[in-house]
Amino acid sequence: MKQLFIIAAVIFAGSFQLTAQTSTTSPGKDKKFISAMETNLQILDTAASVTSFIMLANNFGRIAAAEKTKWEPFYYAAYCYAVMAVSTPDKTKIDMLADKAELYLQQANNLQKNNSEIAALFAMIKSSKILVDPINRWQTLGQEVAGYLTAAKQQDPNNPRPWLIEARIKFNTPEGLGGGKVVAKTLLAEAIQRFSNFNPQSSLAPVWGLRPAEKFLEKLNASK
Amino acid sequence: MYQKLVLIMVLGCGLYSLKAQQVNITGTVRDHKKEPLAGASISIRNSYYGTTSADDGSFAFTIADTGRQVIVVTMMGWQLFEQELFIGRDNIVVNPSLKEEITELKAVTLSAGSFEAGDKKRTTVLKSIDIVTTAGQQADIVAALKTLPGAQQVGETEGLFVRGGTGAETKVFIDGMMVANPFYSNVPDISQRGRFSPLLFKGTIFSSGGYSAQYGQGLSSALVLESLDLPTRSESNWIISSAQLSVTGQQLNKAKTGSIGGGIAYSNLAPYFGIVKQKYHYTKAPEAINAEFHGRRKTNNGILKFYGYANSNTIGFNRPGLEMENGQEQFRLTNKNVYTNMTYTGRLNDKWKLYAGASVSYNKDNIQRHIITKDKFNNYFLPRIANITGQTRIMLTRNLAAISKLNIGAEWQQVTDKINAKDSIPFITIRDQYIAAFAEAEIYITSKFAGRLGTRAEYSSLLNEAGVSPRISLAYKLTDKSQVSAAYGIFYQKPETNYLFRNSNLEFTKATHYILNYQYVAGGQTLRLELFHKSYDKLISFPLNDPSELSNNGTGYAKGVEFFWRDNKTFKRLDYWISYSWLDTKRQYLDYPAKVQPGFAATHTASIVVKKFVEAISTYFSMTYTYASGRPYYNPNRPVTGFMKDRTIDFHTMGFQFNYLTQIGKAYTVLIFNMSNVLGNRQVYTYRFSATKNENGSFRSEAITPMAKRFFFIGAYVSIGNDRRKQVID
Repeated sequence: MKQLFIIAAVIFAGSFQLTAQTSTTSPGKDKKFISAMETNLQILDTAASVTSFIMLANNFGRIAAAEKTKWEPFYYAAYCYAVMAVSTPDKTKIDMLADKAELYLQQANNLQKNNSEIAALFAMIKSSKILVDPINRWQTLGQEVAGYLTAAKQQDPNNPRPWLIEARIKFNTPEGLGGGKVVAKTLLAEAIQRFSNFNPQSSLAPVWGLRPAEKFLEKLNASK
Repeated sequence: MYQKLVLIMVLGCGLYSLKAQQVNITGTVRDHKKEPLAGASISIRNSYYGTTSADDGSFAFTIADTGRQVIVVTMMGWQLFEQELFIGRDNIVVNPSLKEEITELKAVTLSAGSFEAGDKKRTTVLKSIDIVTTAGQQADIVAALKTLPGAQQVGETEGLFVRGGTGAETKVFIDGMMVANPFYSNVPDISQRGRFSPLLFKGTIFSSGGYSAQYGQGLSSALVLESLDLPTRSESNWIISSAQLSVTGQQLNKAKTGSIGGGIAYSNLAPYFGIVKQKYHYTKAPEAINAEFHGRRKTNNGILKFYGYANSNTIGFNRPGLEMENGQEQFRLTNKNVYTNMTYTGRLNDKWKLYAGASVSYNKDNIQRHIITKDKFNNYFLPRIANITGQTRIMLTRNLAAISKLNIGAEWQQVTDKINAKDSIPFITIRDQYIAAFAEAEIYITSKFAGRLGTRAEYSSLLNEAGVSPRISLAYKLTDKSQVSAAYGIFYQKPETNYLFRNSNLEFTKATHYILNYQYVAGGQTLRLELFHKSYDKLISFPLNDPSELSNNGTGYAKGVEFFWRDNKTFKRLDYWISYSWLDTKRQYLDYPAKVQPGFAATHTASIVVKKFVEAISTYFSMTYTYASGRPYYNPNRPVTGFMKDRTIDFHTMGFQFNYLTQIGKAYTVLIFNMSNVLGNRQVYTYRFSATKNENGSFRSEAITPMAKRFFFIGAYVSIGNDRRKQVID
């Protein structure tokens, strides 16, 4: 109940912020954009339920549709759908969610070329699609995922997120095929080391992943 | 919980509105059935105003901008809702009603007669990988499709024999273009492989009837292959096996907009035949050299693809000659084949898509057949047969609402066939200009109900005949998981070339299909039931003893029931499918004295395919068991009334394959072992008889069987420059 209250409070603040802004033609446009984004990013930081991710996807989608030239809202809308795609227990929903995520991310990519964060998110989305039908999809999608991860690492060698995404993929890959716990742990260590040195370039730049990475490492250590 | 949340939000907004001039917008989002929709995004266009609908579909938000505004409601899986609002001083209530979005993922599929193999759609029956990993004949597209209902287990001739149709009644298309010679050239009583590697294709549609008006000239079936798009990275592949050595490579440009690739393959069965004894004495074990080239270029709006293939192969063997005691028949074939195919597919604008293709192919068979008797008398037949086919094809696709579309297209083929045989057949050349035009609309009225209505008009200058064939396919979704589908169509096909050489004054042969299909697809399980009826008209026929008197007087029918069940859910990491076909077919054609079940048709056919991936040892196991009831054959030692009354023994075969995935250095490697007829069942496809009676007044015979009891294949597939093996089981 306490948690609910906190969420409610945060959402309340968010909606307040959103509705308090006036139209996009006002001179404080960028300021308004940044504050709306920051508010939603705060919510995103603690979001855990599907309902909140849907709400956030909608919020970012609205900002994206109104701004049109900023890549970040497209990126975060895509990220929300990507999270839903990787975490939905209903495999038949994955393709639809991943397609929606890709649609947003493609728009982000059109606005911001050669961005490591975008490439990393593409890898995450594509890897979610493999989950639908691993045996048949790995061959084509697996290559694409690997391609995006390589690109993400090249575009920004300090970005921890491609390492985290790769660690998750490796964890789910059989040992005999180059995956497994040990490989995942190595990658995770690379990710965590990068997280500790990572300086986001702006208040809107992606920062997600440190806590999940730490939790993931705990889990790996606990299971030996 | 959510309602509370909304309440707080509404309260918050309400409080704030005391300060500024604000208008409340409230309402409930519902679907066409008035059910509330939760999670919809409600917004005012070009602004940040908006919210998300609650569990009961309700929403509320405030807006401070007055004047003309557009409220936009979006939700995944539903069509966009827009409504103009005038924001004044009063609060506004809007109750958006969303229409379901028709997407390929959800919509009913036109499944009657059609099996799709690909990785995209939910309803595909086979996956691309199945074609490579189904035990039986190694990596042959047709071999995998033979495990589906409708296909016969014909082992003495290449091709797909579908629903009482001959192998020639199945036409193969690559990227929309007909392939004149999709299989290695015919060799008496030994089935030949398909020419093209399954690794070239991303999708396969196998139609066992009622196929689209886009395709023609196959009385029974169409096999539609779609080639791969750009590779995801540069790589080189090596195949080292008991039958073949092959090297292929492909290079992707930096911008990932184009690729070129090529390869060379050499196959020779001599070492294998040296170890595994074959029934006939091979004077030349099958040997082939194969070169391939492909180029793909992505443009802003589309993709241009080129594929070129050249092959030269030889096979020669001696077998018992039946005309004399200890007689001998010698056979040798040299074949040269070139196939090229270039296509462009792309968007012209938002509404129109263009497809254009051109293809040239060349095939030459050099056959030497000698029948040698005791007194060294040599009865020979030395035909040289050539085929040159050039074709162009164009198709425009107009996108209609949602996923509905209209296809309009035309194709033109120029076919030249030549034959001559020393001392028996003079030079004969026949030329045909084949022109076809088609229009077909695929309409999704709702997600639940769709129809495909098309017509194809065809003209052959050689036959001087035109045919118009309507094709209809309808599908209706009963529940989320099940649907019914029906198809009807008329199909024309030119008589086979060997008849046209004798007499080009023939007409199109004709088939009419009626198909009824039920399909159930749910989380890893697929069930299909299909009923069909097919009638044949104007088949080629000639009197028993006079093959020169060709006419179009042949008729026939085929009807049957087919069952297919695939399940990869019940048993963990185990995937299996079962198919069964019951076929009732009779025809009177060629020299048949009566309407009988033809020699290539079995009444009962069944297959079970089981696949299992064992993670611990990275190995993919596959087992195929196939059964076919005995097929009719004519024993000329019986009176004519006994025509096709004999039956071969039932056919059983069990194939086994394993694929071991590993890494050797940086190379992704699959080790493959494949074995046919594991149980060693005796297999008889049919019988052949001598043309003349022997000294005892009877015709000599030989059972047509596989060349060896079992076929083994071991090989390694090595891929360097990529590491796609890693994502096998994500």
